[in-house]
Formats: sequence, structure tokens, C-alpha cells
Amino acid sequence: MGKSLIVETLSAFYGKQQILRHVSMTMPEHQVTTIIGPSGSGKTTFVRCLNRLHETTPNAHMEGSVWLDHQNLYELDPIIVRRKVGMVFQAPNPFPTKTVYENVAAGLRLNGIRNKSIISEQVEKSLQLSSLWNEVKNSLHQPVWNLTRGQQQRLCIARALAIEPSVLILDEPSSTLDPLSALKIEELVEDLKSSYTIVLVTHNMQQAARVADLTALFLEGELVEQGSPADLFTRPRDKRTEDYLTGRFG
Amino acid sequence: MKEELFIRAIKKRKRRDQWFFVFLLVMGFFSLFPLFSVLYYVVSKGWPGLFAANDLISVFGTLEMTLFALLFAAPLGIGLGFYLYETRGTRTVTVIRFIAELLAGMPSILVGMVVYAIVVISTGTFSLFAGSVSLAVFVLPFLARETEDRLIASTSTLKEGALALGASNSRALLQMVLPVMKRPLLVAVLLGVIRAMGETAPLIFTSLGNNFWPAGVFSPASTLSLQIYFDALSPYTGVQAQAWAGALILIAMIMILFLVARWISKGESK
Ligand SMILES: Nc1ncnc2c1ncn2[C@@H]1O[C@H](COP(=O)(O)OP(=O)(O)O)[C@@H](O)[C@H]1O
Ligand SMILES: [Mg+2]
Repeated sequence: MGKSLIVETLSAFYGKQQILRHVSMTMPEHQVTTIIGPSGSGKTTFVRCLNRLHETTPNAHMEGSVWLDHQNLYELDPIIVRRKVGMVFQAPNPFPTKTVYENVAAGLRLNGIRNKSIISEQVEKSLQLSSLWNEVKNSLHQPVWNLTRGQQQRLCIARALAIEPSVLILDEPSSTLDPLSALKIEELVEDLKSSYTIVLVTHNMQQAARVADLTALFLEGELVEQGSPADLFTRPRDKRTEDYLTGRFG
Repeated sequence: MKEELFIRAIKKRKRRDQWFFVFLLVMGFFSLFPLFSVLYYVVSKGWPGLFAANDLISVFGTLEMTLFALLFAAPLGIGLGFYLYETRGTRTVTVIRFIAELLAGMPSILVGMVVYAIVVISTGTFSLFAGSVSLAVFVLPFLARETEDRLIASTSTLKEGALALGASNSRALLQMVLPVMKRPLLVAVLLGVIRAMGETAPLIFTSLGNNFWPAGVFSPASTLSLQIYFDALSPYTGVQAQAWAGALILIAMIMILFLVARWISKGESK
């Protein structure tokens, strides 16, 4: 299912303010690409360009191109793009008025799928994938606020997987969770990479080193360096990377 | 030696804290004093005039007029609020927002004059209808603003969550955001009702007031606020008592609505 995601000279703006400068990188299929960098360096802006959520912010625009499976995402309908490129946000944001089941089904329903057996099959499969099934199978029709925050975040992952994207973006998915729930999300990311192209934003360098096949460092809207975590963390090529890793940046 | 200095300093600071507390207590008393004296006066003076025929006429007038007003204003104001939220930051909306803010800051008596010039003159009569229109115009900007604020406060991540699943903009708003907004919007409408209920100035030119049951929507009608305004001006103590009674009923109604609004917004945070 996974396909490589290729970004070419991407620049992003809020109004006249340029946030990202000519970012080019490839996020290979069946791998976890982690994006690290200090807060405000443009990580969120970058991943929001990948599923074209950036342009829904008033006055925001971008330049450059993003390719998935030989298609330029910026020549497709954004709604189709968002079905191919799923996203999980920093803080869990389940739909509060819907049940556990309906949260996972939401993406299918929003895309016009009505067939009940297809939906329930897909809901179970997605909950299995996000290793939440055993915890919620007896409370599928309960409100979501009965779940812990960690469970809510995994529910959001299930919700994203239910519409079968090729790429899964996770923007600091465990930064608002307790350490144990964070670890569960991390394990989940490892499990999922066999089927998806995964882009994981994290401010936690240990986490980046543990799960990444490829790591990219953003500083002030620029992609400073990318490479295997072993190289990037132990043999940085760029002086700025070294400064950042030793805590002399920002 | 040193130890003693510290202890003296701490004692001094404690004394200063106590004085500050006394100061706060006095300030609190003085600021609550007007509120309690208003309540005391209204209850003691309004009590004897209660249950007169006029009270009932005004209560119904107030209820009908605010109901009609909100029938116009709620859909328009909430719609405008959604529009402002959706188009934040673009140039046309900056102009519209400016106009809405101007309207919100306009003295309500001006609203009354404009509605007089348009509705009263064209229908040829002061009326409950014209009064409703003026109250609707009065609360509309307030509702738009409240709607926008509540949308910004509670739902931007929700809407993005829906968009990220491939929802169209309108589906994201109608299916995911609106259900969450039910309670906050209801509270906003109730606060709008409360504001409209207390307004007098725009009604003087539009609804005029009436000592009898209005013959219909297109005839002059009384409200509690008009009853207070006109009866308080009367030289007769019997009529003045009616003003106090009107005030008591109005305060009671507003308090009940406030309590309902609070109760609804408490349930929200579950
Ligand atoms: N909606 C917005 N409007 C204007 N500027 C924004 C907006 N969102 C983010 N920014 C700015 O863009 C820069 C990058 O932010 P972001 O991509 O969120 O960084 P990160 O995710 O790395 O912390 C910051 O300087 C931030 O202030
Ligand atoms: Mg971020």
C-alpha cells in the first residue's frame, strides 16, 4: 500500500511571511521518516503541506510540488489527496459527540460509504491495526470521553487508517501523552511501517533515533540535513546540526 | 543577629498582607453594595404592584417580542458568525467585520430610529413587529461575534480532523463541527435573549407601548422595559408602583435565563 513521497523545492507562506525555504526530500515507502527540529522551525507547516491542509488556513499558500506514486498532489483534488495522505494531530482530537465506533467510521461516512458490513469490517480492522481492538471491543458504542488520552490518540490513528491511506503523517503524536502511552504509540509506528509510508514529527531525539530509518533536521524553515539516524546523530555533516545536537542552537 | 532581621522582615510582610486583605474586603463590599441595594429596592418596592393586569400584558409582550426577534436574529447572526469564521483574514471580511463591530457599538436608540424610518413608516403603525425587528438588529452583531468566538475556541482542531479524512468543507462544518456547537450556540442565543429583553431605547420608536392587549402583531405592544420606562415617569404613585413591579419581574426573568445558560454551559464541559 505504501508509496514513496517526494517533495521538490517546497516553500510555504503565511501571508507574506515565508516559513519554509526550498525544502526537497524523499520519504521512502515502508520506512519511518522522522522530522526533528526546535519548535517554530516549520515541522508542522511542512507536514501540513503534504496533505494540503496548509492551504485551508486563510492567507496561507505554498510553492513547489509533492509527488506520490508519479502524481503531483498539487494537481489533484485536495479531498483525494487527504484520503491518500492520512494525518494524526499533536493532541488527540476525536469527534466528541460520536461514539468510538462512529469515530473510526467517520472518514468512510464523510466519503460517502454507506454499506454497513463494509464499514463494520473496516472499523474492526483499523482498531486491530492501531492495537486498540482488545481494549474497546466491548465498548464500541460508548462515548469517546471514556477512553484515556493515549487510547484517544490511538483511536485517531485508527480513524486515519480506516480510509486506507498510503502515507500516514503523525505530528508529535505523543507529546501530550504520559510516557507509557507514548511508548505504545512508538511501538505502533514500528508495526505500521511495513504497510505505510510513515512521516513522524517529533521533538524527542531519542525517539527519533529509535524508530527512524531516515531523519531530517529542520532549522528556521530550512532542511539542514537528512540521513540515517546513525549518521545524523553521530557524524553530522553540517555545522548547524552539530550545534543543534549539542544544544548550542535556539 | 541575622536570624532576627529575617524574622522582623517576615513579620512586616505578614502585616502588609493583612492590610491588603482588609483593603480587598472593603473594595469588595463597596462594589457589591450598589448591586444589593438595587435588588433590595426592586424587591421591596415591586412586590405590592405584582399581579396587576398590566404586568401580564407586558410579560407577554416581552416574551413575544424577544421570541420574534430571535427568530430573525439567531439564524442570521449564527450564519454570519460561521461566515466570519470561515473567511478569517481575507479583505472583504475585514470590511464586514468592521461594519459588524460598528453596528455592535452603535447606541441602541439609533437602531430604533432607523427601524422607525424603515418599518414603522412603511407599515404605517408602531407595532410589536417593528419592535422585534429593532431588537433583532440590536442583537445580531452580538450573536455573530459570539458564534465566531465560540467556533475559534472549541473547534479548529475538530474541523481539521474532519478535513484530514477527506471531508469537504461543508461536510466538515455541518457533520462534525455543528453537533459540537449546539450547546455553546444555545448559550449564545440565551445571552442574546437577555440583552434584548432589557432594551428599551429601540422600542420607544418602534413598539411604542400599550396599556391593553395588542390587537395583533401589527399593533403597538408593551414590554416590561417599556412599562418601567413610561410608568416611572408618571406623577402618580400607583402608576410608579407598576414600574417597580415591572422591574422586579424583568430581573427575575433575566436571573432565571442566566441560571439556565449557566446550567447548559456546565453540562458542556462533561
Ligand atoms: N496560522 C499561522 N499563521 C501565521 N504564522 C504561523 C501560523 N502557524 C504557524 N506559524 C508560524 O510558522 C512558523 C513555523 O511553525 P510550525 O510549523 O508550527 O513549527 P513547528 O511545528 O516546528 O513548531 C512559526 O514561526 C509560527 O509562528
Ligand atoms: Mg508543531
